[in-house]
Amino acid sequence: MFRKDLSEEISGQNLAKTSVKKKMKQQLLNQYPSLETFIQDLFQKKNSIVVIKCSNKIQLFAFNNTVLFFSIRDGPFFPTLKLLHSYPDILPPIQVDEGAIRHIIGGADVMIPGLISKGGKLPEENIPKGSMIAIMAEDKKHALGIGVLEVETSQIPVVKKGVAAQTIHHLTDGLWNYISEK
Amino acid sequence: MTEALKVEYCPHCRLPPEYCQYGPCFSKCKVWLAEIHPEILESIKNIPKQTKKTEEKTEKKTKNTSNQETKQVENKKLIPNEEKEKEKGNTDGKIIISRSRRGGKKFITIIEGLSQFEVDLKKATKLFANKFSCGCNIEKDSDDTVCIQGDVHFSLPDVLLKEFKIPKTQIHLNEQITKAKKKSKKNKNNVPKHKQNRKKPTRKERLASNN
Ligand SMILES: [Zn+2]
Repeated sequence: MFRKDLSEEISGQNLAKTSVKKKMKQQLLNQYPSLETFIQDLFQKKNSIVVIKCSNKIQLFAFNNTVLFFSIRDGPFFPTLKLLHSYPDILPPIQVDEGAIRHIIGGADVMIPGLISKGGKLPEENIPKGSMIAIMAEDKKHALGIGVLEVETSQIPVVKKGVAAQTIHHLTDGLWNYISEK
Repeated sequence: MTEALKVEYCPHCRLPPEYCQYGPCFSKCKVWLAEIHPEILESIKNIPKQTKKTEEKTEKKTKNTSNQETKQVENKKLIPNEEKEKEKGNTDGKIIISRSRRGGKKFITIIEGLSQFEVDLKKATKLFANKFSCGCNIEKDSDDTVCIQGDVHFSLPDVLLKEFKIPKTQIHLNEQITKAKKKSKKNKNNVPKHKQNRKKPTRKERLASNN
């Protein structure tokens, strides 16, 4: 999703208007009810909120110079991995096995065999297709990526092969490099 | 409301330390890990084969002495820029897609090597112009380069596959963006006259001319 060098892709950035802020705050609160106080804090008047536009219709949202969320084609707000690391509960986790880590860090999608093998793990309750998930890994504490489910989780053990989730944002990708440079 | 977790990041590769082995500079990280997180380093050592392979690979990458074998095995995305430049020599029979930037946020997509696939360039330009609804023309000086006015490098491989049945493996995406126009590139060597002879004289020379 993100090319290796994101700074090349940035086409413009500007301060968010009040109307945009209001809309954004409401959407974020709806999407992440567990982060309420954190989000309320972000939208205090003294904080600067910058919208960074990139090519391919990606928008990054920086609060006081740290990118916390991004969106694709005005879609839902994705958290960045750093935010997910600090608040791991905001997305439901799926766990891949040791062997898949390398591929996902290389930018590959999450494949079903990596989830149903010995090291993989799926949440007990069903997660519908199209929802955001945190990609966790065997024996690791922190998430290594954020993806969107292509198959609902209850169907994953039945289907047995193919793509389980599209990887949107992962460690060492352009966005990660961009936010960890700062 | 959940409390924010404090996550430690490796100072070298900036990944969480447990992912250091997948980072670009594990040999550096190793030293740091051994000092501060020996338990993580040990858990990595305990895992056989697979991690060793990646280790070797990363080391090879840093040394920049990868063989052809590893080139074939490695995912393209993992290959650092320097190796890509090496690869450029081997792009015979491949279509090269690159972009150049015009002004602030306008791009031009440049495709080279279409004629190898027996594509009628004139028809292709029309088709691209139609598909991407933008200007498209054959570069004047060469007969094998097509310019598309706009940033379409994302969707281009799909279109090439559909329309001309060119497999994606034959398409080489050049991710570096050349900023200058092509014309100015040629002029790069010809420094404007008023700048040419402006070498700063050394102190000795200045003194000599004064005397
Ligand atoms: Zn490291």
